[in-house]
Amino acid sequence: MQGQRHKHQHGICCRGPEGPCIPLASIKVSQEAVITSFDALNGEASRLRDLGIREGSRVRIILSGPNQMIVAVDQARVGLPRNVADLVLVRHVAPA
Amino acid sequence: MDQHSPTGGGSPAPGAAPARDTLLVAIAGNPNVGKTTVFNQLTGLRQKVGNYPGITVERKTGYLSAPDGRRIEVVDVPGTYNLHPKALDEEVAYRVLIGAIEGGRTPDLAVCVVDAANLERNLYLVCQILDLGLPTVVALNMMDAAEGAGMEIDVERLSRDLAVPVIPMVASKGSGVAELKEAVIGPPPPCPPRRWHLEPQVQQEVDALSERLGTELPDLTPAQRFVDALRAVAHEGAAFFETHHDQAFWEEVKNARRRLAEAGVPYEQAGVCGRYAWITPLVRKAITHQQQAKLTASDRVDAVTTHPVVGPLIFLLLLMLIFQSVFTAAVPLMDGIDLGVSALSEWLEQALPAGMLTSLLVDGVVAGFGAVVIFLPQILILFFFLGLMEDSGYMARAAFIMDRLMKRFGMSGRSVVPLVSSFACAVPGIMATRNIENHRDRLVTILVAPLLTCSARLPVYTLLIGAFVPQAYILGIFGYQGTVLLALYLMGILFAVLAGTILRRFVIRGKPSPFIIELPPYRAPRLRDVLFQMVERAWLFVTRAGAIIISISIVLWFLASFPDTGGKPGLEAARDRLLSAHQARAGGPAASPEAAEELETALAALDGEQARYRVAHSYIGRMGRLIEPAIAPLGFDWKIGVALISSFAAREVAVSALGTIYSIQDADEGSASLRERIRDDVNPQTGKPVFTPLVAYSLMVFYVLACLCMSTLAIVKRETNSWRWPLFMLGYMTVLAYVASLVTYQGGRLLGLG
Repeated sequence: MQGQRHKHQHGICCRGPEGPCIPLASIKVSQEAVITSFDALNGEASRLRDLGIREGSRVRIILSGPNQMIVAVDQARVGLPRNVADLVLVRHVAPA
Repeated sequence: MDQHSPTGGGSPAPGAAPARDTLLVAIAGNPNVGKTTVFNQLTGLRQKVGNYPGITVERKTGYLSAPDGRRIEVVDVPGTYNLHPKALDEEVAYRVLIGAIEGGRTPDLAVCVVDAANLERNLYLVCQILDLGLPTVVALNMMDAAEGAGMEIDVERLSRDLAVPVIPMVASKGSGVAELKEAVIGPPPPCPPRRWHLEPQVQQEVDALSERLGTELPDLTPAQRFVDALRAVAHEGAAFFETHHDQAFWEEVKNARRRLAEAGVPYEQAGVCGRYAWITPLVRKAITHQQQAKLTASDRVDAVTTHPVVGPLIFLLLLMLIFQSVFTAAVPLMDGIDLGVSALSEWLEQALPAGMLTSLLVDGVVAGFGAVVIFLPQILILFFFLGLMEDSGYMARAAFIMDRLMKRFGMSGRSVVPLVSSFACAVPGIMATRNIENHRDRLVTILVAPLLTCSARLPVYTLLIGAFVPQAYILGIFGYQGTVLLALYLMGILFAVLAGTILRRFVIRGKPSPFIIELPPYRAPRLRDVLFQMVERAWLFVTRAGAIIISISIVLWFLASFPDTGGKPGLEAARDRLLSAHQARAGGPAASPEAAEELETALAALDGEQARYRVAHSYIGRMGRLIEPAIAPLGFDWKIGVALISSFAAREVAVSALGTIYSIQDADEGSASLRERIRDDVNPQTGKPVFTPLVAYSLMVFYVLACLCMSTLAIVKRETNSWRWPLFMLGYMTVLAYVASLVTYQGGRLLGLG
């Protein structure tokens, strides 16, 4: 699923049959994405999963500030630092 | 072990026929799902708040009476997303549910409050609670929010698939509360068998470990054994059980993990994946209609309140409003309390015979009681505003936007409100740190909060600035006195920032955790819940910190009252002579109002002299003399030493202590006579003034940085649950104050300012 991984202009990236994985931080406001994996996140990944941001969940970007982001997952809103969002790999999807 | 009933599920519920008179019901759920509202709806005013034994996580219990006379105890479990404890409150939630707290009682029923609009995530916790084998009722709260988001939930189907009762609710409006009460009062439902599956290899390893646990710990139920074994294998946090297992068990766990890793099985996520593989399709079937995701009103408000520039400005504005209210609105109430306590003291002095016991009661116990209740207006007002911010959903945003800045100083976004509150008083400020999840961030915030200038320092500053800073203006606009006061406030802020950075880097070390936070939707605050919380916190302060404050007040009374010297020799005789002379001339001009006034002034002077003598010869006076060599390099004599020691009761007491020493009756910071006395006081040995402007600056610097407040120490002890941190705080702040004062005084002298 995760496919081959290589360094990319956005950071770490993976490529699979469904298209490239890019960091969550690179998704623009109002765009949607599906979480594919967490890169080098341990405690943070667990915290994100607690809040519903887990592999396979669909997220939408509500705010993309210089240092922080707010993402929507289902009806919940989660605020996270941009450097954490850089390590969350997603696949861009068209809005449902 | 049978995969479909590995947890003892399907068996009659452990709580089905409890023999106890009082049933225990635990209210669990994710944060921000309206758990406390449900708890308040169930228990009304029959609540009590305390702490869990040995930790500072709040424990709220209440009672519900069944029609048959049974008493049902309801516990509000701290909000948690899962039962893999990482934070202290999550650990407590877990322990309550497994019966490792609450006197070893396992709840007879768990009411899991679920946010209907975020069903999938919330059911993860429900699933974990069911794994524990607890009879469970799901309170499907916030149905209005789910409907508002265009969701339609088939509650019956959800209940059938989960195999537990599901009660749709809007707790804030009282909808569904009667049905929930009925479910709580009725017989607990049976706990269904576990319906989710682990990967076969993981299941095999968990079964083997579970079996071993059955032999080692026969008291654990099959459900607890399963959860325990899974936690151990999947690193889900084995903090509780670790204490129960021997080394051989952990060797077996390591071998199991090794085998799974070699087979390429991602065992660390086994529980999460298995549970979600069951939950996700279940939720998809239960939600019969869902509108496309759209921007909500909260999102639109967030675009402004979390904006990198506008957001902090709005927050600053709100803080100013709160700060102003805590500072100003509390003053009349505090004055009222002060008057009430003074009236009580006077009444007691008149009603009781003069003597040591009356003095103990009035100057020790009542004064200590006054020192406790005087803080209540500030605490109540502060917690009212904090409650509004919390309940409306704004607090999470405030923490979010301020986090980046606060991280630089070793704290977190959630530290801002406690720190600002500390400008009014460190006591409510420190109590407000309970909102900070990260233990290290919270500790640093607690330790630096007293550096911010609280209102109790103001009387000391006012006295010293009034006496030694000229009433002149810089450029005809900025007054010297106001500038000095501002400088003192800024100094407190600067040192708080420095101390936070240093403490976090060298003392309370640890990798700062990224601030990831759920931002609940904005909603109108529920006044009832806000008021409940406000009263609870205030009561906690009165009952816990109050006991320590009153005890220290009694110690200070003892130090100021003993040894009983019987007064200055000759003063009583002088007093008698004055009175006799006045009576002898009673028929003459002595009867005139002028003569009576003259007598009153003379007697007041004698009383003042007597009080000064008593303080000078009391233990506290001796202590002042004892510390004099240590404080002399700062420019302080024994009288200032007495004021510093007295400040432990409350900083403003320093002014009345100086008033006593300088024989000024009813001294306050505005007393012109006290200002004159301290300006004119001359050291008999050196012939030089005791107070110079440089001494005054040195003393003010000392007051900015020293922790001269027993209430603060008491509340830090209460919040950190140990004397270690209050003593550390006292130590570091004293050293800081001493060094800064020394530099100010000696530096000033070197510059020829002395």
